[in-house]
Amino acid sequence: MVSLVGSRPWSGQGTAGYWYILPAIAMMTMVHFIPAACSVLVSLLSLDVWYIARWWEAPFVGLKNYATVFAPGSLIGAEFWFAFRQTLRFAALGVAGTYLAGLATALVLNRRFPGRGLVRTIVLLPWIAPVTTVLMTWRLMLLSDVGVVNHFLVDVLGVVRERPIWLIGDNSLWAITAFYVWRSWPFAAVMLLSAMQGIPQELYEAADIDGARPFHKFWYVTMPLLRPVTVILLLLVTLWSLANFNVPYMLLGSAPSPPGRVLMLFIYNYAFANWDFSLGAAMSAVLMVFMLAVSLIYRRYLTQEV
Amino acid sequence: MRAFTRVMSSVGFWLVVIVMVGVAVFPLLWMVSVSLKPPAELLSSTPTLLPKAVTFHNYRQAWQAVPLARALANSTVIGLCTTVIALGVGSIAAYGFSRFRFRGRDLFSTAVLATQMLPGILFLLPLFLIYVTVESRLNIPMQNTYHGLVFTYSTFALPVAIWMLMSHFAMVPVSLEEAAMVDGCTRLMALRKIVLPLAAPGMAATGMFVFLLAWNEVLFASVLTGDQTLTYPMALVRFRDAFQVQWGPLMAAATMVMVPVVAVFLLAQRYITGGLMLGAVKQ
Repeated sequence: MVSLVGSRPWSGQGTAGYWYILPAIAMMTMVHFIPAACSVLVSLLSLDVWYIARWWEAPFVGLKNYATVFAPGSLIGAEFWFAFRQTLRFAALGVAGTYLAGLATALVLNRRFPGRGLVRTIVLLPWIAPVTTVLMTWRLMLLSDVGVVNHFLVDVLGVVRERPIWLIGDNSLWAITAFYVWRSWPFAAVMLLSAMQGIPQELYEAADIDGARPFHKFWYVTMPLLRPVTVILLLLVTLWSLANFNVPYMLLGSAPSPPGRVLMLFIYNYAFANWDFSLGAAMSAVLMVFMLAVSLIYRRYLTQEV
Repeated sequence: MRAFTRVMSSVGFWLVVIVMVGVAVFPLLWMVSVSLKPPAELLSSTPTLLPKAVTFHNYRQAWQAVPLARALANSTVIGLCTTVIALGVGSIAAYGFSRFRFRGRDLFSTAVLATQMLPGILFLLPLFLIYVTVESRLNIPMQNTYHGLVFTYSTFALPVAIWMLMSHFAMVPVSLEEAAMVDGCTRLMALRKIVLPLAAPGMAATGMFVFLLAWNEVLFASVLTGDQTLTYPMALVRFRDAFQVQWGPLMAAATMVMVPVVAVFLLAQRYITGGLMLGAVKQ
């Protein structure tokens, strides 16, 4: 990546480089590294609303908060693991939908057809539009009685007879997933498209000579060469969906019904509505460890040879 | 038979294109359409994409329903300050990472990237505690202030800004800076006069990204803002009276932000993605 123009990328040596990164590292230390350490510390305390202004004096309880989260019988533990499962379902469906829709779109845009540039621009709009404005629009569109989605499903297509309730109850997971896929699919499409356009044409010509059918060319030439960008894309979208907050918060409200309460919102409510910061910190630490584990798993695939 | 399959596959292809375009653009059109509908038509159970009657009532109402002017001003100020700081600090750091070889370089750049793998809630709880402590011990207000939000957002935008700028700086040939330094420029002058102008499209793209990041932030805003620093997303959530959400004014408020952003994207798209570099240097 670095030697794109054919000359050596380095022009400086020694300690001068530290001065350039110092301001950034100092800011990140204050807002990222110290708080992350603080969070782990707080998860070992018993911190409630009484100790907020002098939180370092809160009693040290060791791993008690983690025991509460992991205890199979406790009510909080059961709620936490339910939220965890919902988060996994949201992430799995969201990532799969984003990737498949992105791949299909990239394949379409990789063909030459009149108006291709215009279509590519329009397809990017869900990713460009300010997310909060479209979230509120989706919320209106998904209303049960006057929403246009139900109007379309019930009155126009007639695939369902009763108007489904999307924003409360079991369907709310589908609502946030649908929005998430709609929002991030253009991103996947653009990344996959630029990777496809980098595939040398000779490979397809060679496949043609060997008599390969279109599907075989897709499966044995395109897909293997898309592998590096696929791994990075899946990693990014997985991490974004696991840590997503604004989609359920703006689509379903600050305290949605349990099926739509993904981990970020669950922890948020636990910490700021119940003022139980220590338990919230312990739960965030569990989520953090899970996300790091996911990153490490993807990393193994990234470093494997094609 | 061959001709028939070819026509069918071409019909199928265009059908896919139409569905794709429709799905992408429908919510945006719906937002604009609802914002123009009179209250009576809003809650019709057989809604139409084209309003039966057009009114600007919702656009007037939007400013009265919530402190929208204040929220737009707040978000603009916070977004611009965040962009300036993140681009300033970020471009210097990205330059350091892309031009200097020093001990710990890989460790630092990995640490910058690793912050993206952590959930925001992990930082929100302790930052809230730290801000409360700073307020009570040092008497510096942090919650519900511009500087508190700008500091938080610009730091959270930094990792992405650094990584985006690094890839743009990598495309600027080192030989140009060296030529400038031979001619008497200091390194910082070379950065300012050679690298930044040549990386301008990248700076613009990164700046737009950072601005929208700050503009759309919800998690920290929901805890750190108050009436004085109400940001735009928090204002959108407030469009409700005792009984229901005021959808007409809400969609008007959303349209007023969505349309300029999309317009800027459409105008700047060629500039951002276009190659200012192409032809600039003969290598």
